[in-house]
Amino acid sequence: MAGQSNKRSESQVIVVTSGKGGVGKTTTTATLGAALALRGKRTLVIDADIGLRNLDVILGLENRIVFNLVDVSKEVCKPSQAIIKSKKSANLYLLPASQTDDKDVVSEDDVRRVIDNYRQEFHFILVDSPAGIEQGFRNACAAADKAIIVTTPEVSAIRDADRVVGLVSAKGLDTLLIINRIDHDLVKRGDMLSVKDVQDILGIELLGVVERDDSIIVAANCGEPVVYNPRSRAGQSFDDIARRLCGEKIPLVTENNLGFWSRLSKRLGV
Amino acid sequence: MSSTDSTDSYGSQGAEDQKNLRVDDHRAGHHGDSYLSKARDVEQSRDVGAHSSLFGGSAGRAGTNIVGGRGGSTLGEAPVSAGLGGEALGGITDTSTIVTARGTLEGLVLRVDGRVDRDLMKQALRDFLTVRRRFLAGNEVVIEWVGDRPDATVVEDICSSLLREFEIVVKASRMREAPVVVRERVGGIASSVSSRDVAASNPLDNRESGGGPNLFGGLGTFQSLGVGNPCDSKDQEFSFREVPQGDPRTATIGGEALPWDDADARIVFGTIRSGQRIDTEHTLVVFGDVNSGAEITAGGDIIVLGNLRGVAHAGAYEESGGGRVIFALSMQPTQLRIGLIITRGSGETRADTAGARAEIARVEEGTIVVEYYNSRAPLRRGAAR
Repeated sequence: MAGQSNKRSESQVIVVTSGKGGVGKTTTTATLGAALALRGKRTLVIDADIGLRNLDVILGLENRIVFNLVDVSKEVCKPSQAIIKSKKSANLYLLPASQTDDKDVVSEDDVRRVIDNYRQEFHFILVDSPAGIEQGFRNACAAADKAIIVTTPEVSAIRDADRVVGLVSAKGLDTLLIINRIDHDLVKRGDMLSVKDVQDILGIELLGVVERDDSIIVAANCGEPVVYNPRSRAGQSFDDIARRLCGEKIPLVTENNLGFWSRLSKRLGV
Repeated sequence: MSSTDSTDSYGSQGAEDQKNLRVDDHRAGHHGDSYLSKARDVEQSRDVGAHSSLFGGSAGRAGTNIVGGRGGSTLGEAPVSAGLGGEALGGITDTSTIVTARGTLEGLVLRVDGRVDRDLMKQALRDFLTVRRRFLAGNEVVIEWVGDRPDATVVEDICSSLLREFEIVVKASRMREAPVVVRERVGGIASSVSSRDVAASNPLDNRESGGGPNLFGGLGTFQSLGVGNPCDSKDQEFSFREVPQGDPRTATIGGEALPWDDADARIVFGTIRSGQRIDTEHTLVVFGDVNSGAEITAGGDIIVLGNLRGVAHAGAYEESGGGRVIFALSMQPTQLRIGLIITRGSGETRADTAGARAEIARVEEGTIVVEYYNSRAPLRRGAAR
């Protein structure tokens, strides 16, 4: 990267993890990264899921990959050559994982050294952790100061998230919670755990709540994070989360908080 | 216990990692400063451990955290000052610890944490005084700065806004020195206590020799008065008690020396998370939750002052369980084990854990029986011990 004229302070390195697979870590990393970039923050998203990379697909950049995280750690290329600028925002960059190796190919120190290359250039570095609690997870947490724990309001996901909270706290990271795929109607009917139920068990600071939203599925397949879709409620939530990370106070929107017209229009499907 | 199957499947219980049980330190912990300065309004995380009680910010609270008036057990602590350290609950700016008030013989004293920045201080004063506007208006107060004295301009600013907004006249402002209590005698009977800022003098010089009964003996910088109900005195300090002498394995109950029911209980503050394990040969007390997927094992009893959702094993080193019990404020275990006897949890989860009643599990005729805890049905060890 060309030297920046303004001396930047060091970036915040945040690992996005969950324990359980499939709860939305990669989607969260990509969408949150895009939201932060839209707010003017230079953001780097790093895929730490070596061997099973997905972050590139979610961002629609799979055809542009030349070098990856493992190449940077083995010094096959320069750090600046490995990061890919996103299609839609000049503030968002991706450091992809390798698809042909597996998770033992880098160590925690390797990852720390790789991330150190980028600390001066970005406001936020989001690391997408693989599922599980083994070497891949440990690598992803290696350089982070904060952890975002993603969970869905399901008993098994919460149990795994609880395990991860324990491990992550033991490493000294601050923990933040995102509850993904909540359906307020199901909660009202008593068929789904509520935000309060989840908080009862996990007891860590809540960063945001994202509703179940079909637009996410479409976005994932098209490679365009939902935050670019102004009509998506999930996109709204991710935008709020990004703003909270930047220090703004945004109250959590629950079903009850919606005004009459929003509730009416929601019911009418407008 | 009902016979419905527990629907929980065991999560990963590898537990290779040592659990790290930091006290849930909401006071000056890693959450505190950065979140305070960015003033995030995210939903407050649940605090485990007492945070409401003793360190309040309201007038009159300060002197009343001493229990008992006649030589009973007391907390021999100097009150108040702990709450004014600018300690913040993580996540939301909390002004209630910045300003407290005391009634003293010289009138109302406002103790303000001088270390916070000016706007926060003004906001805190505003919050504090608005509620008490009606009876404070038109009064004179003294301001004591705790921790640090702000600039003269800031002090001026605060004094004039107090006058303007609340009609409160600040007659003096000073740094809070460690107060020295001086005993006053009125007609031969020691009465109320006054505290003065006597910075230079040696507090020990003020100690009465002989004289009336001193209930709170022991060494300490502060002397105390014993006569009269401590709760009536508006401003007093107490000295520290000495550590009791005698055999540490016995308690003196009703004049008799009896063995403690458990002299070696292990106490832990904090939530035990999924996959974490505790193992002790003694009794275990957990001030916090035990989450599903966690396992706690004790040779003695298990007392969980929170939700028990994991696996608890009491009397783990004796076949019969040794008459041990498992107690929880909210009993939703995956499994309970006493000795070699195991029982499943019913698998029900309570929707509102705040409404739970305390339950206790013990062995009766070879099975584990769980009933609501009745403090008047004490557990007798007897032969089972």
